[in-house]
Amino acid sequence: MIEFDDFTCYYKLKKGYGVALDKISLTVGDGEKVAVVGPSGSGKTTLLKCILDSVQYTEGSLTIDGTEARKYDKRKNGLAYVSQEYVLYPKMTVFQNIAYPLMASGMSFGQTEELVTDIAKRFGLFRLLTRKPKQLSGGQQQAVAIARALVKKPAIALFDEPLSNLDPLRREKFRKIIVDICDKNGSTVIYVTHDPEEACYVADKIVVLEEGEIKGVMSSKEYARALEEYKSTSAAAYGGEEQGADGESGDGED
Amino acid sequence: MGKISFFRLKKADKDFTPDMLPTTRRGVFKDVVSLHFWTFVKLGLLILLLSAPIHLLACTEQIYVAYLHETIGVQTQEAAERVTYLSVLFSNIRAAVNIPLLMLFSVGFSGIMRVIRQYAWEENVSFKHDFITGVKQNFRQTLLLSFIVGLCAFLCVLIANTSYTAENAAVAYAVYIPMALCILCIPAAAYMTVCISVYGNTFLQNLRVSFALYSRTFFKSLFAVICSGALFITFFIPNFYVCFFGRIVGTVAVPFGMLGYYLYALQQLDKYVNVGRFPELIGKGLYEADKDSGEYDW
Repeated sequence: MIEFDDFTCYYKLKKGYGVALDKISLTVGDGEKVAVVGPSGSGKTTLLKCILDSVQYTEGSLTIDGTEARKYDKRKNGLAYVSQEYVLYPKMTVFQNIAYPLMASGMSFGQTEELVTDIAKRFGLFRLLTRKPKQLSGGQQQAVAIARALVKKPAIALFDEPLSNLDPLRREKFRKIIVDICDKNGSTVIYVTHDPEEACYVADKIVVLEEGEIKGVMSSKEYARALEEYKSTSAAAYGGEEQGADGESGDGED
Repeated sequence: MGKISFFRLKKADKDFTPDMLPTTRRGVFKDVVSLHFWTFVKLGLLILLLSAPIHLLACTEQIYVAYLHETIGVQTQEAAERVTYLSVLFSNIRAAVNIPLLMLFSVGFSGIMRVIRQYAWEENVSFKHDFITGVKQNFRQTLLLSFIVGLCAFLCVLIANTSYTAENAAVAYAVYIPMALCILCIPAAAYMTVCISVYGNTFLQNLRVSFALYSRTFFKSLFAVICSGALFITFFIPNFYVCFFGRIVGTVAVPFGMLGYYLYALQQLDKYVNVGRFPELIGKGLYEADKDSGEYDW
């Protein structure tokens, strides 16, 4: 379980500090999948970085399974993070990149190879295992980064727009794979995305962030309904202005 | 991204698709060398480390012979005979000592052959795992092979030295025996190293396969061995420094030659051995579009 309790995160300015997250309180239960949506600069990425304990100035409480985030052993307890700016080891093959966390934890090569092959097949990387990252496209490299995060069956998986470099068809396919794998592993997921459809598909619960504050927490069904209402309201408002009040066509200025 | 832009990962303009994988052994060679050049240099350094005692002994002989020429000289018949006697003695002792050194080298060599095999088959490589597995699985056969090769080399040196120092003209012709032995045995021994790492056969079975294959591809095999070991020609240059430098460079370049030879040997094994007995090994490491289901592709 991940728990934010009256949690504030600051960032340093030239003079003074700015507020990235402002007194947020949020609980993500074990095995729960939460999507975080909001405009750019609302603090979505910062929220993930706080869990990873890579921010300096914080106030309030952030605990993971009852332990302070700063003291939580991420490697031992299995915490995976996939960001838009993935980092692969350029001198290692795709296989070695994906296998790295398993080999580093002391797993035997045979077992490692089995797990890596299995996940590579799911992401369409099976025949690319002997390639190096520089031979792959951006989308393929991102798939490798996601596969590497999920191969170790993490207890907590943090995703920061992981499918942004992919075409729509692959986004849909990989979204499904990520959800399948996380469901099978019972992973707790926090998924940051700009895509409302993706948020609704991946998560059980949607958190809307704006200017560092939580504006709303709702189920994915409620969020989808709210989106539909917003779309139809916008479409109606747009169509109404074109027609004019008396039904005559106009330029919408009046 | 600015502060880590120096480490920005290169990426291709388009997706890498399976049809871009190598479809020929030559293609595999180019592919592996271009992707793993420095890994092969490191392998070469490992071979240099494992073979250091053999090289040191060879250098010691050269230094000793030069020392003999300096101290005793060859101005008189007696002095020349003494120098020849001591040089030949040292050469024979060196050839005998090389047998256990070669056997020691072969233990690590069996691990390296397994690593080369993984690259030749375009399979996933974990150096530590593959090296240790190669040693565990194949050290017995490579030990035996290296003993036989070392013994043959010792006999060749002995015969060559004897014929060189013989007064009897007939004995002098015995120098052709080691040459014939080299031509007969070295390519077969090269095939053996590949068979040991590819098949789970006994030593005798591998020996039989190697000689049978060599007999069917005599000139090609001889040529392949010469090309793979081309840099060893520097070992025969009398200048000590050129020879020393050549030893280092030649040894570090060995894995590249080994890979090239391994791929050539796999091609011959596919043609003459695998086709009847191990069809699942035919074309292993090569991408074949018509056999590909496309199920696991990007």
